[in-house]
Amino acid sequence: MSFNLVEVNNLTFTYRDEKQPALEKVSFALPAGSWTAVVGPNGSGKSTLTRLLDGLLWPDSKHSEIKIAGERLTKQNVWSVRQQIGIVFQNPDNQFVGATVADDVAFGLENQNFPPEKMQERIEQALAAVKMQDYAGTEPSRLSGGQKQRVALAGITALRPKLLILDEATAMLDPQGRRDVIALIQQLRQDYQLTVLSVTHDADEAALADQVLVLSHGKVKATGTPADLFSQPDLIASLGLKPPFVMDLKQRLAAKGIEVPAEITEEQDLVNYLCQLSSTK
Amino acid sequence: MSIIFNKVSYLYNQNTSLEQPGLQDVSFKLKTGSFTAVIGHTGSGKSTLLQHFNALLKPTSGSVEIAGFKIDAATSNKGLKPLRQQVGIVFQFPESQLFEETVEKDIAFGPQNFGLSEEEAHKRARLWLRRVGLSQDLATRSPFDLSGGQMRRVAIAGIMASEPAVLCLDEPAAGLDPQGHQQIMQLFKKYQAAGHTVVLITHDMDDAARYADDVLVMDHGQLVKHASPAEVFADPDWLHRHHLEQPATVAFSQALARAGMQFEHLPLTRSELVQAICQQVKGAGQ
Ligand SMILES: Nc1ncnc2c1ncn2[C@@H]1O[C@H](COP(=O)(O)OP(=O)(O)OP(=O)(O)O)[C@@H](O)[C@H]1O
Ligand SMILES: Nc1ncnc2c1ncn2[C@@H]1O[C@H](COP(=O)(O)OP(=O)(O)OP(=O)(O)O)[C@@H](O)[C@H]1O
Ligand SMILES: [Mg+2]
Ligand SMILES: [Mg+2]
Repeated sequence: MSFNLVEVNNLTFTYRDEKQPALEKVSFALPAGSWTAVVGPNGSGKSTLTRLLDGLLWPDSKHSEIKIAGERLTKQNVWSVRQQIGIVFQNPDNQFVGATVADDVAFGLENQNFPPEKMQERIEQALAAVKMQDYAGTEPSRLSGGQKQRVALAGITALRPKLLILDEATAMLDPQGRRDVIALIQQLRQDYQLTVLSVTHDADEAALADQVLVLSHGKVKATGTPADLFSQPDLIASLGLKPPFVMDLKQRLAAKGIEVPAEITEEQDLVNYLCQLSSTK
Repeated sequence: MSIIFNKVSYLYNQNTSLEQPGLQDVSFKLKTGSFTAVIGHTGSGKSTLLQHFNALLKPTSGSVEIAGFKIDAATSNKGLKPLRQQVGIVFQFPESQLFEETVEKDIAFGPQNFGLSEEEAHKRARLWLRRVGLSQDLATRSPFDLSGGQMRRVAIAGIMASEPAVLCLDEPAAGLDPQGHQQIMQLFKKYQAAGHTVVLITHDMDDAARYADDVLVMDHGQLVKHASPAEVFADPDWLHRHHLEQPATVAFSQALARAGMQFEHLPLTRSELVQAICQQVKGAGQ
């Protein structure tokens, strides 16, 4: 965890014909192996940021800098740098290229010159990890919304990128699917050093990250650990965010005169504390 | 006039090697003016079900009665415009329903198509743009040059601007920020209060518990339960068997109950939960 896989300095980007920049002087770092959640209101620049990191868009000026594994991202090295980055887009339909689910996963591997003799095994493994092995021969367009999201994720995790960027990649999964995906990513982080940048509106998901980056109107409004950030109710509210469930409950209880000690952050501890309070008082 | 599904089955790619059941023998009745949530695991048939509400898909067998129409396998595609006017569907992926040059034209398309003058339709469009929480500055932008959440809002406005009697929503809050999420859910609730019927597909169990009168639970193309949120969410084991879970509020209340707190009835929303806890804690303190 000693070096930064990603360093972003002074990143400013304006879409063509727009007056306001979509990102303005954004700086942050992603320590290798860490999980960072990016949160912020609709239109705050989260997806734009992911496109800049992947070299799909380019900053306004030379004063902006994106470094991946120590190398400054340029139009010359973008193809090789991109090999290290896996990005799951907000809309999985923008992701599919293959005629079948298996082809789609194979396509990414072929692009990276993955050894053909190991291809089949890797594809099966990636699809099984998202419980889509039974759909290997299906056309991606004939899948349900959540099935598409799972396949998009398999296509990227199969590549074992160093940096995994998820743009609301669990937004259309059922509750169990969402938990499966989070467990899968934690597993991958354990198996090989994976750095994760995950854009999400789900506070309970952000609460699992090592670091949270809050964007608002294209600027970084706050960074910190989830615990730090979500314990500032006024800041959270002013940014239009919602605290995770336990925090939210504690704040609502405090407003009614029931103060719960700060060290209680887990659901079960809160249950125990409240039950004690109701029986001993 | 209620909405009736009578033994509806649907086969994808019927009579081909790719034939696959989408719905199996689904029957239910929804009251006019009700708010129904449809929940179920990934691939359980929710979107397939919703597309039957305005005959985008027609039953392979069985029938759907809605808005004075009866739709079955033999229903012709001609003459369905009045049905589409009365039953609007917001799709799971908003991009799939945006197509005009500008945001305002996109939202105005529906009302104009259903008979309003251009001027009236654009007035409606601006009204709904505001109601879904979008700034007027975006009116002239291409709907494809928007963020994901902004596109979602345009798609919702585009359907609601025609003010359909039955509003069908396929995960409308996916991708909305927390504030937008709450605003848009309240917009749907208000729409219901104004006398419309709302059908909402959601993976957010908290939303289903908080906003719906009625819940339909789908599993592998079958309807496995049709009941009130309180009933559907009471049994965690049953939900797990159908790959679902309890809303955070309900799970928390039951954990409190197991640890000794007693509730008269299960709190479904966070404010109900907090109120119930206060009664216990403060009541005990007196
Ligand atoms: N192609 C484009 N042309 C012009 N403006 C754009 C384009 N794409 C996005 N924008 C604008 O740039 C801003 C940032 O958009 P971005 O998609 O990065 O937001 P986001 O934080 O990902 O939002 P969401 O949570 O809704 O996905 C928004 O105001 C959006 O309208
Ligand atoms: N065009 C299609 N052709 C063939 N099969 C399809 C098609 N669309 C969906 N299916 C299949 O029908 C089943 C039901 O899909 P549906 O889209 O209704 O699920 P859903 O409940 O909406 O899921 P999700 O929550 O993931 O959106 C799935 O197994 C899916 O793979
Ligand atoms: Mg986005
Ligand atoms: Mg669906």
